[in-house]
Amino acid sequence: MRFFRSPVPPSFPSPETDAAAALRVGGLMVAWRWFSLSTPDLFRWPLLLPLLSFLAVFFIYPVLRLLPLSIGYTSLDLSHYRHLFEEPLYLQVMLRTFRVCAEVTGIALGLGYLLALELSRVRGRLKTFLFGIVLLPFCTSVLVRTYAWIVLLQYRGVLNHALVALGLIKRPLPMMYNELGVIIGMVHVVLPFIVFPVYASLQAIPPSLYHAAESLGASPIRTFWRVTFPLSLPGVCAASMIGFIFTLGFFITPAVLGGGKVMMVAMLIDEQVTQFLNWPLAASLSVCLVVLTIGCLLLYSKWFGERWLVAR
Amino acid sequence: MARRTVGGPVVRALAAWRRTLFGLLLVYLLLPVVIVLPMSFNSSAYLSFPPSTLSTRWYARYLTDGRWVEATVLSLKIGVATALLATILGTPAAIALGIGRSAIARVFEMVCLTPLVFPTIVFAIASYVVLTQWGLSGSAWGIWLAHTVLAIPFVVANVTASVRVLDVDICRAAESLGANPWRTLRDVVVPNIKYGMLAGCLMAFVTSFDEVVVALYLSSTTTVTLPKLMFDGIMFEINPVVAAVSSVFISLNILVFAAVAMLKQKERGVSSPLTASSEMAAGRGAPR
Repeated sequence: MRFFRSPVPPSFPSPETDAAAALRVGGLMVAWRWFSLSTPDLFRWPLLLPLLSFLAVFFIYPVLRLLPLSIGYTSLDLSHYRHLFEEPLYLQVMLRTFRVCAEVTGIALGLGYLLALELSRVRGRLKTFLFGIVLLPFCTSVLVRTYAWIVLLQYRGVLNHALVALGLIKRPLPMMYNELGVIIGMVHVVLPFIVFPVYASLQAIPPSLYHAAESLGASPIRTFWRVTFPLSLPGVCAASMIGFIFTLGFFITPAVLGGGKVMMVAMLIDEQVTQFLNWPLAASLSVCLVVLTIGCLLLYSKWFGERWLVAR
Repeated sequence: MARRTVGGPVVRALAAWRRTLFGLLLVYLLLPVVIVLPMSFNSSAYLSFPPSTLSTRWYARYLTDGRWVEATVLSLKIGVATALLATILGTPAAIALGIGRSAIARVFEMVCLTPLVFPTIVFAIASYVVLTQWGLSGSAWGIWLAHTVLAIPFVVANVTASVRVLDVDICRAAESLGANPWRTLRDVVVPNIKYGMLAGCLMAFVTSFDEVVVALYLSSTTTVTLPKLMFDGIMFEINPVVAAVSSVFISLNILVFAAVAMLKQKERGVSSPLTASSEMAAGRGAPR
């Protein structure tokens, strides 16, 4: 093992010697140094190579393949994009997607803020318990939850049954196969992703600020609007952005709970492929969706750092 | 925290409203998860509620129907294979990304985490195009490869988190005591990140086991995963076996996430389950 020991004491990182050593011994000899902390980042690439090549072949290449599919292989053909933005039906679907996603994010933000606020106020066992309740749906598969919503929301479902039995409504309400059902299901899926960032930003507010506000005679409402809310805004922005990006790509929930009546972009892509075999159109829609998602993500990482979803 | 100091009637009314709404919210969150269990013991073939009589016939049907059993076995196989491949590919990369401080490391980390937020339907049709060309669509291999892409971010996120809390000085100490980097890795780094690796591995398994959209495209009549079969059971017939399968899913999900929470807690020593849960939030990724 002595043979493999690095020529430079590891506690003195120096890129030049590393580069020289790499050139000199090459190959496997350097392999031992990939894990070393003193190795500069640039020399750790072999550790990343298997993963990055896998992602390049099975993720990046397939997605990039959609681009020539949408604009034609031989000559630039933008007719599918033009079709996308001229045909009122597609335009309508896109606008509806934006509207529903914005509604879902907005509702989830309101509800999530309330949850986060309550969670940040309780202590001890109760807190663990409540966190468990918020986490439980988060752990459950989306398909299972969507199925559960069918059971709950359908015309002869549990909720209608209960509401009629309680005398709150006379006739069962249509709560599914319309936008209401889609929104109920989507908010449920996206809610935990809103709660954690908001909770983290609320938790980061130093309690001394509340004491100061209180001792200066501010009412709880005033304290909320002048102290709590402004200081939680970064978390709120991050959460709403991530929520919006997520909802844009939703497929299962709107497809099942919308019953084909609430067409969204993801469903339109699916329909174009499976029913009309219109690959170019599906590809151009996909490209639009990807560009939008990546754009949102780049903005997000510019404002909030690279680590998405990390509640801190 | 502003609480019960100035107690005007408006403030008190607001607080009461807030608490009621909070209670309703908890019900909203829990109801879909809880309702599945009584439904699965319903003896009627229709989704009637409350169940008229209780029976385990849908569980029996699930366990005796060859289609469902085959799909479960296939999903388990693909899940385990996905977890293994994602861990093998993801761990070394996560170590590099966790130690790395440069801008390029941040860019690579972003690339590795992209599948978390990427619209799944787009990835599904893209991999369908390419894997069909390579003759892999409609086979378990294709689903395995595509699921691994979706599972990699969980391994990377969990392991980088572990590497980041790893005390760099103990690695330096090992190196200065004459351990070569390989030995440092084996005896110092890996023992310290093993919980993160295990958590990532478990989450990768669940990701694959729960995944529907990619499976919808890459399945064939002979290769059907459990979620795909369930999706068909929901969309095209209201198959009551789905209720039984759903309870199985829920139990498995809860089990795995409890294990992940425990692992996270173990790794951080004294830390509360809260840190664990927010860490898990970091790793759960896009709902599909």
